Order: sequence, then structure tokens, then C-alpha cells
Amino acid sequence: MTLFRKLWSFAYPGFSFSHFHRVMATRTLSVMPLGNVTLPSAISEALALTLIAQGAEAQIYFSVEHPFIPATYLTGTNSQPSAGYILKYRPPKRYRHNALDAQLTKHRTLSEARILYKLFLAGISVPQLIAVDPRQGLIWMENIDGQSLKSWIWAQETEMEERQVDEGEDAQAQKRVHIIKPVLLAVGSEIAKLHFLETVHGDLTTSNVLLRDSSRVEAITVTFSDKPMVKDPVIIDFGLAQQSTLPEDKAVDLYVLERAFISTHPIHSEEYVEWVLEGYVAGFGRGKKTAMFKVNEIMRKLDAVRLRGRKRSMVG
Amino acid sequence: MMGGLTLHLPQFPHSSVHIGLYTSVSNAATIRKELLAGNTRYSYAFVDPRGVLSLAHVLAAVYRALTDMQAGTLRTKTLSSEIVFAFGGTMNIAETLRRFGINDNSDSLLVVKVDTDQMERTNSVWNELEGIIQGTSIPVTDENIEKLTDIETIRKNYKIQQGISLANRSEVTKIVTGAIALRGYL
Repeated sequence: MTLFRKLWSFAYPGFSFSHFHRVMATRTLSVMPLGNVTLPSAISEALALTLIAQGAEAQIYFSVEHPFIPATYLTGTNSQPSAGYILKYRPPKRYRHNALDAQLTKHRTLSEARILYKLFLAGISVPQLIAVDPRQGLIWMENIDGQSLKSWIWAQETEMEERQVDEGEDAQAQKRVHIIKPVLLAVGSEIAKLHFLETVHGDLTTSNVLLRDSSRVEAITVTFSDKPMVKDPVIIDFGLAQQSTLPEDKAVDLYVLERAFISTHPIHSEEYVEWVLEGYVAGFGRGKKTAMFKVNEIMRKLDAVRLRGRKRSMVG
Repeated sequence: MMGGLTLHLPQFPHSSVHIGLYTSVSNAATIRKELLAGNTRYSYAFVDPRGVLSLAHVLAAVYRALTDMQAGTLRTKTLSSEIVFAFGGTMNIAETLRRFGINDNSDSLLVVKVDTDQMERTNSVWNELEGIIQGTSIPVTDENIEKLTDIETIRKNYKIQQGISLANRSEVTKIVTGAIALRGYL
């Protein structure tokens, strides 16, 4: 890692890693696409699109404009000002056989769109599905205006550290309970709703949970003694999501999230995971008897997964 | 110029979308007969507004038809009939045209025409429609569309579960937008 950093700063003098991470986390930096993978020209010529994220599988573009509702009519239908739109594009992979590539792109795009729509109908907070083009690997959805859980926690921690001098350890711990805990309880309960519908996310990390700005979190940080306001967590990126009735798969989802907490927020990760799980257990099926049985089973599996890691044992 | 509306979808800036809304229509049966006979003068999407929620709902169907045309996967003979078909949540063409399209007893109509060439012909569309439809043209606004909606028709056509409330229009528009986008893929 240190060698990598040295090489990197050699290649890009003046480049700061922490800055890079912060900017990535707020999802505003446009990353140059690797190679010349670009959107179908009919779309890029018609709309002004900004690349905001790039993964191995897809590119995420931001558009101020809706794909089919002109701006003048948009204000008429929605009372809230629009936060823009997201276009997720799975570019063709040249190293795959054309026929196979087309089939995989179509299959994955549709699978993601179907799950997104199903969850939306079930009242889980996910981005609204606007349009799909399975042949070209395109999904249009609404943009969520807000920080990722990861960068939000970072921001909270940084602020608390800065005040450490005049407040001390105890006050900080109490602040975490008042500010971060309610948000993590809500996150856990949202994941529980998802799992209760026998859907697993497949890539549950602190970057794939966004906090919608509907209820202002500034209110929490300022009014310490008052009842804190909870942000509205929205789960994104269902590219690896699946239907599954197995407690095992749900436990793996939770385990992946736990690992994400440990690697991004190492100091208080134990506390954070505990709160998420508390919200999860409380939110799972809302006290139905069969749900209690299921959630106990998932928690048991989670202990097993912790011991052996995400992958199932291939021995025996 | 009457109440007709001409607009351009952001993703299809070169196509003009003409939308007209008519009430007190007295010759729906004749229009339907000419359509079935394949009269080319009637190359419009004639939609019964009872099954239409909002302008965004109409545009979702137009968008679906245009993207399918671009991909070369039209299921019906013309773009106009494809627009009516695009409203439906199912792949059954006859059933969708019956549910969403013009009926003999339709007393109001929503009409859509898309010009994919860049030719400016806004005037002749409205003139032509005036010759076809015996009714009153009213402005194409969400308020006017809303007055003509039969919300239970929407629930039936899109098979929306009883547990889901249809009180909030923009929420219902989100539901039908998804249904239109995923038609044939679910």
C-alpha cells in the first residue's frame, strides 16, 4: 500500500489521498472513463450528461434533464424541485463474444430494473425507476439528493474530533448516541424490510446507502438536547441483488456491511454495527411470529459467517 | 390555436410530439371504424382519457414507443398504434388497444401524434384533427387530464394491488411509469 502511494504521488505530485476519498465519497468528482467506452451517441448528443462514478460493470451519469419530460412540465407534475436524474450504463465489453455480451448486458440490466421496481412498489426507499433499455444496457432512475452514509459518518466524526478539546470523551460518546445512532437504526430497519421481501442486495456497503436530505440533519448536530431528526436512508445499486429465501444469503449481506464499517470507520465500528443490527432485528417483519423465527436464524448464520468469511467452505 | 400542445422529449429533440385533448366527443364510433378500416388520415394515437393519469403518464408511453422504434422492436404496425400499446402493462396488443384506446362510447379523447422528421407541420395536425373529431378541444394540462381520469380504471389496467393507495397522483404516476418501462420484461 505504501509503495502504491509513493508511486501514485510520484505520478501525480500534489495529489492528496484523503482529499481524493472525500471527493469520491460525496459523488461529485467525474472520473475519466477507462478506455473509450462512451454512451450511445443518440443519447449523449441530446442530453448533457456528467460521468460521476465508474465501476467494473457500469458507468453512472448525472443529468439535470428528465429523459422524457421537458423541464417546463416537470415543475407542474412534481411539487418538489427535482434533484436530477441518474443514467446507469453498462457498456459492451470487447473481450467477450458479442452474442454473449449482449445477453449478459440485457439480463443484468433487466434484473436490476425489476428488483428496483419491485422494491419501490413494496414501499422500500430506493430510487424510482424511470426507464429501461435492456439492449443498450441503460437504466434511468431518479437522483437521490444527499450524502452517502460513509461520508456522512466521516463528517460527523470529524466535527466531533474538532470539538474534542472542550468537550471530552464522554460528551463525544453521548453525541454519537444522539446523532449517529438514530440514523443507523433507520438504516438497519430499511435493510430488514429489504430482506423481509426475500431480496438480498449483494453489495451492501456504507457507500451504497445514501441519506436523503428531506429531514435536515443539520438540525441534529445543532440541537443536541432536543429530539434528533432522522435522515431518510435510501439503498442504491442493485446490480448484484437477487431473490433469495436463504437466511445464509441475508447473513452474508449483513457481514459485508459489517466489513465495510470496519474498514471505513475503524474506531467506532463495533458500536455502529451493533446499532445497525439493533435496527435490523426491530424492523424485521415488525414483530410477526414467523419473522422473529427468521431473524433469529439470520443472526445465528451471521455468527457462522463471521467465523469463516463471506465464501462458503468448499471443504467436505 | 385551440388547446393542443406540441413539445419535444429531451432525449428525442428532433421528434415533435403533438398532444390534443377533446371533450364532448360525439363521433367516437365513426373514428374507431375508420381506424379499423386502416384509413391513413386517422394515423393518430386515440386514447381514452379515463385510463390516463397525467401528462407524465402520456410522455412515458410516447418515450417507450420511440425507444422501441429506435431499437427496431415495434410490436404493432405504426408508431401511433405503438403509443396506445405502450400504455398497457401487458404484451396483449388487442386487449391493450381495447382498454386504453378509443371505444365506441368514448365521450372524451386524448390524441397523440409524433412527427419523427423535422418538418414543422404543427398547424396541419390541429386542422386535420378538427376535421376528424366532433368535440371540444380543451388545453392539455394536468388539471384537465385529472378531471377525466377514472382512478379505478387505472388500478384495473395496471393491476395495482388494493393495499396501495391511489390518492397521491405523482406517486401513482411513478408506479405506472415503472410498469410502462418494464412491460414485457417482468
